[in-house]
Amino acid sequence: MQRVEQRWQRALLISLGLYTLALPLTIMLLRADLPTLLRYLIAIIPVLPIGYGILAYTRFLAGLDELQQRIQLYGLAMSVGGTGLITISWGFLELAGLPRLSTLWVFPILIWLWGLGVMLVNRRYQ
Amino acid sequence: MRNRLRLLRAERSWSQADLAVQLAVSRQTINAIETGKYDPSLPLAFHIARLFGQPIEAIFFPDDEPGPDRTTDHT
Repeated sequence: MQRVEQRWQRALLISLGLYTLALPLTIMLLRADLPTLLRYLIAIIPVLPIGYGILAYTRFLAGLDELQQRIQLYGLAMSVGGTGLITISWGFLELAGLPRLSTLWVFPILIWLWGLGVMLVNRRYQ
Repeated sequence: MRNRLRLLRAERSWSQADLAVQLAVSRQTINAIETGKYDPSLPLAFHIARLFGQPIEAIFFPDDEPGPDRTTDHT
């Protein structure tokens, strides 16, 4: 495995690990009666490891060769398009009575579709 | 585009992985170029040409051209 892929996988594991720790900690802390500003700061603690993961991904992308970058960018394009379609469709469907979709779901949908997109584009170059 | 990359690599007994290391790209990229699924960028094409000591036109040619190993003389 290329070194750039090893670095990315290590950073991804760290990001996921920190997120797994941060989420229950945040939920626990938000149960306390705290000033509003402090509550807001606590609420975005889980975003920090996600931000670290995104930063690691941009470094990963920069270290790939031209074909691998193309595969990743096509995957991202499919992800953005798919997420846009799903979320805007759901938005309109909410007008027709579907339950409200929390914006917390947008990022997971984006990530899943990115993974699917990369897998599909990769097959074209096998 | 078609290319003679596989032939040139085989003449030197290099694996795709060997060639990938020399060009600082992935083995997937080498395989995609050799099978015609991916056309390299100009810098990469020049790098390949320099590595094999041949002009780009001797390695890469359009699909509708016969290439340096084929003749168009049908007489």
